[in-house]
Amino acid sequence: MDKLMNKRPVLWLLGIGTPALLLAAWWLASAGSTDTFFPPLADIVDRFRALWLFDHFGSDVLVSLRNLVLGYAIAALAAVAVGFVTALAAPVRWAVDPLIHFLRGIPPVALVPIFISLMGFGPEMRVASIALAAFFPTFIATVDGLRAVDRGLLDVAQVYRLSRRDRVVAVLLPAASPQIFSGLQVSLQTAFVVMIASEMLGPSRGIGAMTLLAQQSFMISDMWSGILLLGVIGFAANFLFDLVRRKVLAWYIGSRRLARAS
Amino acid sequence: MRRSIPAALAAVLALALSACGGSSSASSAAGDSVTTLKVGTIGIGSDAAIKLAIDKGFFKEQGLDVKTSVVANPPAGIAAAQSGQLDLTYTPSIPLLNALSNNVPLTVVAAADGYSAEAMSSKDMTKVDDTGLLVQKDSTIKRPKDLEGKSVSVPARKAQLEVTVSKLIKDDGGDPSKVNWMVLDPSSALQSLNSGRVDAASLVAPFVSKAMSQGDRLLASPGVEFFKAGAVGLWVTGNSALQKERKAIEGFKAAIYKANAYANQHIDEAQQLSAQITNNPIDVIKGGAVNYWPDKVTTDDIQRVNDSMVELGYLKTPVKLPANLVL
Repeated sequence: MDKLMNKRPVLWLLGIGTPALLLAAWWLASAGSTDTFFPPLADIVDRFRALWLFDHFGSDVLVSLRNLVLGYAIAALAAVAVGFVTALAAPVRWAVDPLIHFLRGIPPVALVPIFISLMGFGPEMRVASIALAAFFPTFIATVDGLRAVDRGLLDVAQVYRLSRRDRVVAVLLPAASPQIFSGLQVSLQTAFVVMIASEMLGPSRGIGAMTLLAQQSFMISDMWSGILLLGVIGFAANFLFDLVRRKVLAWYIGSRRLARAS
Repeated sequence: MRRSIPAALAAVLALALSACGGSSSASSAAGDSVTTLKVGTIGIGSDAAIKLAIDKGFFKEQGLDVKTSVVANPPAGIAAAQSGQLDLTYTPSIPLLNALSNNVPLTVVAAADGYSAEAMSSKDMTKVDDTGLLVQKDSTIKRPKDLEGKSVSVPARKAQLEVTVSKLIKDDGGDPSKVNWMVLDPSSALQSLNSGRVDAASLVAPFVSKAMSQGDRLLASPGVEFFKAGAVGLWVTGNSALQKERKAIEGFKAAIYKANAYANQHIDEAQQLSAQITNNPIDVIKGGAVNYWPDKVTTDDIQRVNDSMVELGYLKTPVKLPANLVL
């Protein structure tokens, strides 16, 4: 434990230093570049400030983020709920399993045109595409997590005659939560990809649509600034996710650490 | 574990070296025998001419082996031509001007498609123009000006159809900036038009004739009204390919113009190929516009588009066309 504490600052330094170093290298290597497709990082940062911080923040950045958050939230809730029903009720499992595995084999991006013909191209189409794509990783992780719950735990719950509700909330949900969270993390990545893909069709509003448009009209600095923004948002989303996970799974992470220490 | 890192490095190095070797031997074969040119197309009906040039041996006569590959859209082709992944690529003049205005150096090699002088006086524009602006049969939209505040589908933003339809609206006294543009692939666009999700759809052959056979009404033919007679689609090359393979690219130009002339004289044969390339039944191709393959491209063809794009606000300032823009 002591050793780990001593290593901490070094690790932090590495975590912050490496990206900073890479950025510095990019800045220096691209300074004075005349290649249209690889403009200087200084130009990209300039465009970043001009485009995303003021001009298009409300009209594009917030629109994309709202779709992402809504779609992801719907997916997460639905996946855990349907996952519980599927894992706990054998008839449902038999009925739903083949359908789920059929649907999850389809690349989510390929579903966007189908959603357009079903529901037009308003924000609800984008949210629905994101939600459907993000559903499967969490759903599958939930079902697997529930199936792997220790029999002993269930037996104890039986002995104590816990109600169905208590069994779900106090026993099954916590026991499956480490798996559910790894599913949620995969879902987050999928939701992110589909957020961008869903903006390729329909009204050109959103970060993905703006970046695509910049690429197609050779505004290369704008395109790079869009890519940079997507990277930053991806990083921030993951960071937030990790914070929540650490909070919720504190008991689990702690018990793992103890197990390793002993 | 530690030992495997140098081994892996060596393997990567060997791969990289062999890759270099491969490409250098391919380009050194360009000497006196056959030069290979990689050409990007977008899989449209007018690609029949380049297909003819391959099939009839026009390229072979010039000592060329032309390998075509379909690119997603003209901007992607231009990026590939600029970086040297492709030697030549197809692009209409509008993406070309977008590229030139952002300092992407390109040279126009030859005309790929366009409108003939006779086409200007044609009675039936659907036989001439492969683009069309369509509305539902009993739509209240009677003229381009009525599109103000309406939603109009385009295959891509700030590209050919948006620019040409904007010009129609502006020339009719309307304000194109009030149009709600929607990016839709042609089949979604047609479906959205028929279900009323968009008020008008700008389509390209063969979807124009498909829409009309489903009862939609042709509001205008934006292409021919915008471009007038001359070249629209162009074969362009990047600087690196031009410097390296100038002779071969001149040969490409000669062979393409021979094929263009052949295609104009043998429309049936060209249409069969168009049907093959676009994966459409021959009846659909014959029902739509007849392609025209120009015998030259002039700076004027491009300057005209340049001026219109400035007028419509798609370019802030006119692109200064270099004197040697056309090979």
